[in-house]
Amino acid sequence: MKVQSRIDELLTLRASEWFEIMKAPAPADRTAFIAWLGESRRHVQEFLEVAAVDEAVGGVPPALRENLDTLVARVTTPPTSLPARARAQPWRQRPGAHRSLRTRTTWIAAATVLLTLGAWMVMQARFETFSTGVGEQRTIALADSSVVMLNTDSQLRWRIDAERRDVELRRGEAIFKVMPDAQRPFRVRTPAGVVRVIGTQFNVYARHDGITRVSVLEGRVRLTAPGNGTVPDSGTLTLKAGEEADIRADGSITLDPHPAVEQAMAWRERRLIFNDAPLEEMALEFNRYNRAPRLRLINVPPQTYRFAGIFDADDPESLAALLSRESDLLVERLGREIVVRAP
Amino acid sequence: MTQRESSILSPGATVRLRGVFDRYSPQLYRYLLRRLRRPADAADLTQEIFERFLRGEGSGKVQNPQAYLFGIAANAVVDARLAQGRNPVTYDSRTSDALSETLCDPSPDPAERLGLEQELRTALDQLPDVHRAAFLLTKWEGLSVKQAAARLQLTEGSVMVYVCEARARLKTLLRRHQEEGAAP
Repeated sequence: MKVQSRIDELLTLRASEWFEIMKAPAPADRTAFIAWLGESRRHVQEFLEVAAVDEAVGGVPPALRENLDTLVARVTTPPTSLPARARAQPWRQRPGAHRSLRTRTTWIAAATVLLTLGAWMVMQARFETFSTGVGEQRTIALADSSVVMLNTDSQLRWRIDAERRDVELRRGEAIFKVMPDAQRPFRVRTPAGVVRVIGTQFNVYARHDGITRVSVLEGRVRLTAPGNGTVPDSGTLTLKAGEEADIRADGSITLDPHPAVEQAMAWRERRLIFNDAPLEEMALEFNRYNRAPRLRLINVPPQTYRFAGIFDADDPESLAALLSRESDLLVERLGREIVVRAP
Repeated sequence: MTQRESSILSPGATVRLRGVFDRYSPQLYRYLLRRLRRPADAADLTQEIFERFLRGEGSGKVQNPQAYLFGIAANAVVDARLAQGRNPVTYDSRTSDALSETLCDPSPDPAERLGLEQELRTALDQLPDVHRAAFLLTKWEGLSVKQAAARLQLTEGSVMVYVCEARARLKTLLRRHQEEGAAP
């Protein structure tokens, strides 16, 4: 039931994306859109309903509309939930400055302060560290207005000054929305390699097995391995939007022939999407998000049990329910663990 | 009026979708909203629309698939109404616009309209701020994705994602609202 409703939501999202695309379609979009509609009556239904909802929102009378200036001001104000250390950046410590960042105008003024303080900051710049606990997700606005969404159980260090924007993803996974700035390349270092960008949106996952997986939603990024990004002739690969690649611990970079960027970004909504994934990987993913119950596999041979499905990341029980239908797997609850045994 | 009607389905037609319901088929719009909010009360024409869509092989479909789909959906709705014998007027696609006011309820009845507005506001309130901001800036202030991105200090790609997610989420919430109301 739960999986079905996730699939429904993805279908609706797809319909909504088509609605957006078809506002200014390329010829190829038209053909693809017709093919998509022809696949299923559900697609037709979803598209028509999404269009009706869009129309209905446009028809909300002005008197009943929310004040968008207020909303925009709230959205563009830096997140208030920043950890204390972030607030201690020198430019925000100027008296009154950090409290009055309510409107766009003062936000721009603050940016000017940032520029004039730039030279001083070069000397002051040092790495800041952020981390998330198991199950926690956090959005961090960096000093250059880039935004990082940090997934569960992850750690990030960053240093931004007049010349560079260096981020180190020491563990875990993050989506980066990078402000374009050709003067200061934005670099993300992981244990396996370096991702260099100018302005784009992408996901970096420094996995437990040492592989770093990079998925690009928008723009272009360049991958470099091994860890030393200043050596021009080490393995490099440029990734475009919609592409994914793995940087391995041995320095090799491989382009994924079947990219699934949308799936890689799904964690923003705390969804886990698996497509023919081995059970051990699924258990690992669920355990990234949940302290309890944890999934423990006993005697399960690797790469043998494979599943596809869409799950709520906070709901390992849904996986347990799926597995208990497998006749040769034994699922039992032991304290704070869900134990899965194979014969 | 009639000229616009015929141009919608002709090759190379450029129709902006915004307000297409208003201009082309208020009936289709009302049918879809009723279907979304009270599925039990509305006939399910999905299969009929789907089959008509698959049958159509004309170039109109390729040139403007969206207008083509809306065209057949609107026709299916009208045909269904006629089949129900609610109205003896003979359907003619060239005059459907003018007739639509008499063919079905003149305008959605006030209670229904109020209900929809309330449900929409509740659903909008449930969206994250940034999703709501991105979507409503494009809908209510008519900003392009690029302009909205500048206003929100985000990249165009992010705004695009937020707009699409917001619209999809609203649809899901409207339907869910209905399901929860029906099954306490």
